[in-house]
Amino acid sequence: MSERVGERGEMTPSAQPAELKKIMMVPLDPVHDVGLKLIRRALCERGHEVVLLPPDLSPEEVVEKAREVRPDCLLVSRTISYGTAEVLARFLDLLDTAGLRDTMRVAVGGMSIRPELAQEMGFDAGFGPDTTVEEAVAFVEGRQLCERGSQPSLLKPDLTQGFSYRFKDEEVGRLCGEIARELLDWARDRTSPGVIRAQIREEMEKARAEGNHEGVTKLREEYARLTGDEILRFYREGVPVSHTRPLTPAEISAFSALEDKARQMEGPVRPASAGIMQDRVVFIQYGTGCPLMDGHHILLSQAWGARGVVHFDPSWGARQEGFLEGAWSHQHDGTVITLENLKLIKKSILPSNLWQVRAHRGLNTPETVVLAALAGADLTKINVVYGSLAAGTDPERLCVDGVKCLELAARFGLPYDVVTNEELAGVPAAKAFAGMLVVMAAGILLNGRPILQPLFARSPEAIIGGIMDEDFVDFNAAKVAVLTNIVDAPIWPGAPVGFLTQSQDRAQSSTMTGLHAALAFSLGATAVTVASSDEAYAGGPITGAARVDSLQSVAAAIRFFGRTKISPSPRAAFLAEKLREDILKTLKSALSAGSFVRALYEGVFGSREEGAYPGRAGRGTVTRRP
Amino acid sequence: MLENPGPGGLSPTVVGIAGTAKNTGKTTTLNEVIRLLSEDNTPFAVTSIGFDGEDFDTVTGLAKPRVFVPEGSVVATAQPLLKAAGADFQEIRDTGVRCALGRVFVGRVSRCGRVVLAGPVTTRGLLQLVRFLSQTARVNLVLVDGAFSRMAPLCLASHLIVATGAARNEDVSALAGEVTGIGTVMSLPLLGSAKFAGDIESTREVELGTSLMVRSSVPGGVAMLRRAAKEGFLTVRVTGPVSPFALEEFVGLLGSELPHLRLRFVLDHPVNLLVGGQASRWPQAIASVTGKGHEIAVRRSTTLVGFTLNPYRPAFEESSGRYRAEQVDAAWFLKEMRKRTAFPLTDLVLEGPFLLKLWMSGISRKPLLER
Repeated sequence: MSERVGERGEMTPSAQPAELKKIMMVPLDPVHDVGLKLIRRALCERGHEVVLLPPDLSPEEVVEKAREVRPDCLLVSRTISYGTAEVLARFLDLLDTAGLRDTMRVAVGGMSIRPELAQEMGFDAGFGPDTTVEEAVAFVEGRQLCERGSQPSLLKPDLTQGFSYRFKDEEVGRLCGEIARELLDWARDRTSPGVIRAQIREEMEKARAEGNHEGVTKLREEYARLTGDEILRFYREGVPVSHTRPLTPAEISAFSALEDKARQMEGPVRPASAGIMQDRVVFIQYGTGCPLMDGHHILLSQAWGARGVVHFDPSWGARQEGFLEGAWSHQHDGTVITLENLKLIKKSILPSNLWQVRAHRGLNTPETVVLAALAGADLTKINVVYGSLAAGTDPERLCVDGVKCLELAARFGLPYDVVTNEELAGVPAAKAFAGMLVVMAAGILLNGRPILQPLFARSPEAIIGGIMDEDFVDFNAAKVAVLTNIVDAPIWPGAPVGFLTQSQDRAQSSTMTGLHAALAFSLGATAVTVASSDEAYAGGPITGAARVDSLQSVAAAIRFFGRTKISPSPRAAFLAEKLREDILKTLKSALSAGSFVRALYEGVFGSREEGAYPGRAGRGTVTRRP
Repeated sequence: MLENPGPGGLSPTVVGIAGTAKNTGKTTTLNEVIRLLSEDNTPFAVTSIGFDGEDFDTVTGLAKPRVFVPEGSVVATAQPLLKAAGADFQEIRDTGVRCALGRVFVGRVSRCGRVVLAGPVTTRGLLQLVRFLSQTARVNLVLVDGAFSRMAPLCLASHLIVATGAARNEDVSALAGEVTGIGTVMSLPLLGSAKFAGDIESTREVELGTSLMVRSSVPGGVAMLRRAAKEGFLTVRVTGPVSPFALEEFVGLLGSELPHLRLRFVLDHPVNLLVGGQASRWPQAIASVTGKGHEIAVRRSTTLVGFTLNPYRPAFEESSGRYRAEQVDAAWFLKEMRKRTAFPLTDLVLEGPFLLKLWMSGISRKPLLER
């Protein structure tokens, strides 16, 4: 076994072995192997008898010793190169001819060992450089590492558990409350096609579940009347939206295999990831356009430690009134939101992991929340400010739809994050935070479970203002500090972390992601969202290998820092204080504007100079309720 | 050593293809044997005591020949490899044997194609598999592909083809010496043969386990004989590996301490000597033993059919840290080897399969002329 065996020396807690074994360990290299000593410690702790031979013995001497000791298991450590593999193969021949081979299990470990090489040499198992102590012990004890009962099952995390949502900063809380109440009052007697379609969709799915086909048809007709041109053409004439095609029956059948795989996965494939990542909730983003490929990416990411996945839909979908029905593949980035697509994708998500379907922009946000709930999603994403200032949706429309989303999320019990992606457009963090806090306050008033999602990014504000010229720690720490001081609520940095700090170099990109994730957890984040190492530059489909890069990097960074704290410099406290002042200023301006909606149009939460442009999609579609 | 049913090996016929090192041409030999059997419509099963048929060598990373199996043949390999094979299979069964890559399954080839072989790695595992193939899959001929220079499980074979070549040693004299050593060892007489009738009658038997494995164990072995011996003859059963140097030292020491004692060394199988190392030393060691009036016999044996010779060798480049494929002059290599050893040799690529076909006809008991 190599020196790099195991990330952690401690054993995963499990039942005591059913039978104690006698193990002989042999470093056939000229020097002792630290890896063998680590494994010896673990075996002794579990009550097994271990004989560790000195290094540099000949194969014949080891065979003689094996005759004397009569172990149940023999573990050999050796560096492999051309010629030495044959030495080991001969060693096994000696054991066999001496009548000992069938009396014991024999395994080999080393830096260049792979199972195929172990098989070729004649060993019962081979352990490479990433072998953990747990795997070696499981082999000795004759069990599968992840068998039921030997490892605790993972529980699905609740990101909002333990938070009171109490505003600690009374002044900010009071202002947020006032603005939020005004928003809710304003929205109460207003509606939009998006709101109505959400209602119809819910009724349609209820009718479908009851087998009421006539009802479904009738409701579909009603639904179609409220859709935009391309979606209407689909319902009337069956013409697919451009750049989409239906999934084939073979593609749909293929999801069964994904579901089987998800069921078989007890947790992350690599035990090291299970230990390090299992209590840190790391989300990845998927949305290749093809639900089947998404399923594979999701499985892969979960195997490498992701505890949550976020659905990315195509941006054109946000500008269309209405959703398609059926299972669709999309030629470009973003996977079309339909109930059928979501249900298929759900098959690849482990029961212990989280799934978010976003409803933070566009003309279909309320219906997205409905579909998310019907498909079994765990979370959604809602923010009126970002969607209306940096994602093209008309502020009035998104305020109506957004409030509906808050109501629906509360009704369905779906927590949601409130993201500040408008920072990427240039909006200063303070203004973005002010908007986020108002939306959160509205959500709290509606008995929802909002989660704050500040950006951990090198935003235009940071670039132009030089705020992150010296480090990427202080400003992010200040963001978390100001929010933590304002309200007792979960914080989930995204989306993804490290945005605009990464380059086309996959190593650099992964490192930045890992460090940002570690920083977030060090600051007390409940979860983080990470991108694959090529996501910013792929210009097309991202690769599975790039996802693994990022997740490996996050695992390594978490392992590196452990439970230690990353301390920002005194500058962070100064930045946090400045953020608070500016948040207050923004909130007061919003109050002065007389209405939240007007404040959005007037640039209170982000001006045109700062890069925020009130959207136009859905303009003029808000009506008063009858 | 495991007991097995017959004096010459198992029923069914088991043909082992061993190598003296990696990259000596076992897979090429195996593929050629498969092709000949297929041409002849002789049904067979194939497995490996190692890992064979992969795209790239596990150590050098150089490309390797693949294993192709014809329709109707039976393959025994690790379950994941059966699933991933290029061939299709039916009548798939779990043999109950395990290997490093999972449980060994057998399947009958319904559509020919490529397969990677990984079978039992121990003698007991191979015995279990061969019994399974005979009783459940009704197979009469089993090909067992070797691994590295591993020999021990191939003691179950009734027939053995040994692949050797420049990858083992480019020095023709040394390589020929090794081939002669292997051939000499494999030619040791069976205990039950006419050679031993009447000449030396053994009434007492002493067992030396691994006392002849290394020279340092020799004094202990001699001491054991001292206690057991009177003047006359003694049968010494050796159950473990035997080193030629240890054996020579043993008889030397015996000669000075118990000069009137004559021994019949009885080994389980010639493989006990081959795994002891230094095959080229064996003719000298055996001569030293028999020259002093002792005998060497084996309880079971395997018929050595012949050697295939491969001029290929992977050469390690220090500068790049990688291996590259090279070869010695094939015609010269074969000619020089034949000058130095009397044991049958062929280069399949240079000469074609004629000699191999002749050998196989002997194994499958079909006269060549009948084809």
